[in-house]
Amino acid sequence: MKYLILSICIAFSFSALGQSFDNYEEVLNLGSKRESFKMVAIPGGQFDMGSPESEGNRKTDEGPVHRVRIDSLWMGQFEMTWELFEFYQNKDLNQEETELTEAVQLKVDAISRPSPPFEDPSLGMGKEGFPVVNISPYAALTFCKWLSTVTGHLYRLPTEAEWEYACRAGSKTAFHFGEDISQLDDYAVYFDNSNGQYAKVGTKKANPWGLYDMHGNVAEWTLDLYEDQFYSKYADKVADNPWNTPYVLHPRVYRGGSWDDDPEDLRSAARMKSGLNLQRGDPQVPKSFWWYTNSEFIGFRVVRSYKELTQSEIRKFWAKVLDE
Amino acid sequence: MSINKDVNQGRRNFVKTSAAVAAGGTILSSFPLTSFGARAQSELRVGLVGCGGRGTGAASEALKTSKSVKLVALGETFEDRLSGAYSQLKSTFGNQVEVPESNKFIGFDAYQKVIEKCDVVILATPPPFRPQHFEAAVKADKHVFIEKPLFVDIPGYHKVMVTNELAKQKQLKVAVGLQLRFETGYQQMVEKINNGAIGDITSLNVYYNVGAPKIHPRQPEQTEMNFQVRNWRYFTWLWGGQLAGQAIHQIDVINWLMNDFPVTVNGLGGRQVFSGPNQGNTYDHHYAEFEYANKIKLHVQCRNIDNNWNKNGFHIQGTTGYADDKSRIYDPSGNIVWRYRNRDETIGSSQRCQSNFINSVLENKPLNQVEYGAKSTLATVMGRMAIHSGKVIDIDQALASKRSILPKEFHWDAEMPDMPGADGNYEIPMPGKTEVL
Repeated sequence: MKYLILSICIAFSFSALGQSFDNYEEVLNLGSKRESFKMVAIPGGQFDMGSPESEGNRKTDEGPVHRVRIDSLWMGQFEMTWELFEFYQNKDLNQEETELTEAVQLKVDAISRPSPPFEDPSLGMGKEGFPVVNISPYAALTFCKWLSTVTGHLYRLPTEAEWEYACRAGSKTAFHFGEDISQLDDYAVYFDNSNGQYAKVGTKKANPWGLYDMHGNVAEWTLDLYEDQFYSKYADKVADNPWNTPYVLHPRVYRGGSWDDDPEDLRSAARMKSGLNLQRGDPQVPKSFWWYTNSEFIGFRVVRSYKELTQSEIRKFWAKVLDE
Repeated sequence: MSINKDVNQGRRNFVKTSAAVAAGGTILSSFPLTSFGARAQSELRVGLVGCGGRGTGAASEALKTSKSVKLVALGETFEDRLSGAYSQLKSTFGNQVEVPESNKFIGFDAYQKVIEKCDVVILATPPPFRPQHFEAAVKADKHVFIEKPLFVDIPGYHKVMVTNELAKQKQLKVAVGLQLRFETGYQQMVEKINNGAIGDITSLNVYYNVGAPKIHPRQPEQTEMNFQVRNWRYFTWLWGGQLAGQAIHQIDVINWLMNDFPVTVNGLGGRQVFSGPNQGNTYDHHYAEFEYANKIKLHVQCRNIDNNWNKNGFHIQGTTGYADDKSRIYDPSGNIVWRYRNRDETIGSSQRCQSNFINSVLENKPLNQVEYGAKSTLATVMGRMAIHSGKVIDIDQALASKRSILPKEFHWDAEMPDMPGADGNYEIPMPGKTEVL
């Protein structure tokens, strides 16, 4: 089948790097505003992706467990919050204030921005310090392109495999802290403790690699198409940075569970797929491709590969993920 | 206060009618009914009047309901809107969309030609044209889906109500695009509140605080009518104001919950950020305090200003808790005691509302939503009258008004009641001076 062939690995060419591989804070001086976010260095390695049949509440799309190799990357310590996203959404950057070069400014100006949302996309759950929700993966990725252009670092969504690797942080259990659901309240915002809304990012304990809210708060978009049998093609080999490249709007994978989910959907291996249910409240045709009216439980966090891409590869990447 | 009696009777009758149909469905369908409206349809020819985003959405939902639905005619004032809607629908629905060039009608009279070509018509233009379009459709024995609001002034209300009597006589199915009544979570929530889940209702709040409508800057070749229709959300006669154009959804939910409609309203508002000719003559913020016959008040705030705190919803306060637009019921401290949880639903209320209409036609089941559609619209028009005049508007007073805010004729060179002054700006309603009755 054609879509099986479409699943490719993200091929990065090594360039002379010489860059350090540590946690860092990306600071954006955006005129009168200063925004920043923290990135955690995650050394590459191998891990067992998926869940064993013995795991409680496990679903069949989580198997077979297979070996996956992931290249080094940085991942956002927190889910992306509204401040920076709204800056991208609302404001024209002023070259003199931001000290962007003219060439960069031109590129930034060429990136499209979301149409004004019909209603407050946070649904009154809070903005400052709270995670972005109700956006399409397209909006998340266009934001990433804007962010990449402004900072000069290629930010993107994680692949599904990168996400699970980072979430597990070396663990093989249902949750990154083990199997004991009674501890979930220490690590996650979920249905039973959320009182029906998301929390500020980072209010619970981090995972062993220092990432917050990998379980719960908001689920997180990945770069992948959802396919229930996707893991079976790697049953007897090591998957090298696998990426199931999407060619349709739905279903795409989001991970981690949310404030609106029960514990079983927060497990490291649990896979969620997008569908029209996320857009059902949109009465217009065509439906907005920026805003999903019913995805108030899905946000995203950004990643950055340690290996740098060439300009040509970067162009190809955006062309592929944004259908340019 | 005759309106309340009508409503209650309507409710009771509706319940009785439904029960009768349910009990005697097979008997009814075995009669060879000759009236057009009462005949079940096998293939349904749908026409769309008004090809904007909402009209295209409504047509799309009709086509999704059943393969036996065919879109056969399109009407619009703007060619670009029509061709946009056509290509969108054709690419999605293929041979369910069979609209030859001869069935694509442009102009203010397009509605008449669309109506001739179809069994069912979707009316989705801006609202001032609706009473005229509804009347033409019913006179031609067509089933009608009417987008909200149903009119923008009191003469419009009366025309819709008179037309609806004819629609009932002809047993035509008439639906109204107030889809929140089809939101499953709201249906359950309303039932729970009616059963005492928050005690007695003490006050009601509606919010519709969103950004400004899109501006289509004036083009040199445009006539005044052309400019205004392109920018219809900036002209009171074309939009009805924000209460009618937007907040009506939540106001209608409250009316549904109250099983009644407001009898009096006062309010205030203004135009703080909108400026210049491109933003017409509408206000950009409104507050209205409605009162029901049982003295309970409904407070509505709405705003069309960018980069503000936005909220689109409602809050229903009771003696032992409250409920809100998230289909939730809370205790007085804000802890959720009930919530509707069905995230995997793929069908939205808008689709449900349209499917209910199409299925009612296909299965020949009685359907007429004009009563609540018109009375909820009336409340929003009364609200605007109160805000623009600075006076309390009582329903009997309002219903006696003969004032039309529409142009006398609809064509591109028509004489417009709202013309720009010497400085290019339009006259803005002035509370204390503006006459609305």
